[in-house]
Amino acid sequence: MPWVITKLCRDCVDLSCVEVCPVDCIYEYTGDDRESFPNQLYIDPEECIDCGVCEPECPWEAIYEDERVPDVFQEDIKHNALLTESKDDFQVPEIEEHEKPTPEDVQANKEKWNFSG
Amino acid sequence: MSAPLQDTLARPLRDLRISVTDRCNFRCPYCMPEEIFGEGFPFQRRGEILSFEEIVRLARILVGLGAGKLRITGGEPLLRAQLPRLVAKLAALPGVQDLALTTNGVLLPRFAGALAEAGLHRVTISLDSLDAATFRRMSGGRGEAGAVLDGIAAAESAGLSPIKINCVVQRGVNDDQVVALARRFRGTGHVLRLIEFMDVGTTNAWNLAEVAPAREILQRIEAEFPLEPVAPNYPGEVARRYLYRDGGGEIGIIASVSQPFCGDCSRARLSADGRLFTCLFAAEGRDLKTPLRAGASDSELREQIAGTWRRRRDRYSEERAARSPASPRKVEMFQIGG
Repeated sequence: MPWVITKLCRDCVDLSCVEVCPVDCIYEYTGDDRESFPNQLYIDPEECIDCGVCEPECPWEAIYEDERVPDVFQEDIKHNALLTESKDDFQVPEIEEHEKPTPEDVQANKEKWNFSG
Repeated sequence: MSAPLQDTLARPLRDLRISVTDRCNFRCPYCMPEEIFGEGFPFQRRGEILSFEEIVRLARILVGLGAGKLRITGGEPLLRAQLPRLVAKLAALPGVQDLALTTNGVLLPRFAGALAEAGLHRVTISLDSLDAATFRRMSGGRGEAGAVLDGIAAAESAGLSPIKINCVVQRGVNDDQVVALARRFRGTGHVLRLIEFMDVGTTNAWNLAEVAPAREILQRIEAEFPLEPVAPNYPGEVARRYLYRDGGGEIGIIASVSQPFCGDCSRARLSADGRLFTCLFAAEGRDLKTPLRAGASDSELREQIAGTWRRRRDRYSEERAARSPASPRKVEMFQIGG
């Protein structure tokens, strides 16, 4: 039952989740294949301990338990799992201070992905 | 010095249990059953729970009122980000004689060193069974006994001793495994404590038939390893202590159902969202977060806390038998950490 970061994170990358994860299982991609791994965060399903601490922290509401991932984001489950195979191209990001999105920003981002949740 | 703080039954305040999160990575059926606390359950969000600074401010006041023994609990406390930072702040409070943490143990290999360095004295680790299948069932399918044993080893190397191992004994579930646990921890210096299954909270479908009483648990152990009772370490100790007659160390029994110890109870419990409970079985806690965030002074908060303790009359376990079977509303265990 690991948690999954969906496309709602893409280019939003807030890092609040990284800050609270007790097992440091949330990664950013540092390799060259930007097409396969766009700018977002990924949860390693092998390391995730299913605690759910990250979910309420995400201002973009981008994190779901794998069994509850909305239909439009189903492929993100596999996408997160890919990181297990190429660990060398990922790292746990450094935390930086930054502004939080407004509710309007969050809604607009969801609409961008045709998601009405 | 004013007169020492006492409740209506002349019980002093000596211990404070601090819950730092209501979340857990296990789903033990006796505390947080998966059917109720599954996907989508609304656990508390970060703004609802106390910050470390808020916890320390309340702890300082409670320590000043007599609670020199502190224990950090959850949920699973190691899920709270940056927990060693809180430990360091609590360890530095004047008047703290004991600073312990209760955990399911699986994150100790990662955090034991940092916790010890921050000033934690010792840990208590829950382990209900050594048998893989039983453990898995008793952790709601989330945990492995081997991972807990790794956590115990990590705590030992970090010097977080004396280590206590807590086992909740449920008749027909793991009562036949207490001897195996005793055998595993004899001679290690760790103290196994066998706890009667209690009617904590409202979701664990407790019934008396599932309680393996202390007497029965002791008989099982004694049949293999003769024991002798010893005196408590301090007044209000919840476990009855026994020594293995062959020098194999100590074991404890917490008989809160068959031999309640309300008369000595000196514990207050602070929930992650800042409510102060004066009994494990209480329905309501005194909301301290609201005044705290509204700008109450230390002396105002101290007066509210002291007043709550002076009015305290809880003795649930002693009254349990006289209550009707329809159980009253109670706080859930994962909100106050047992």
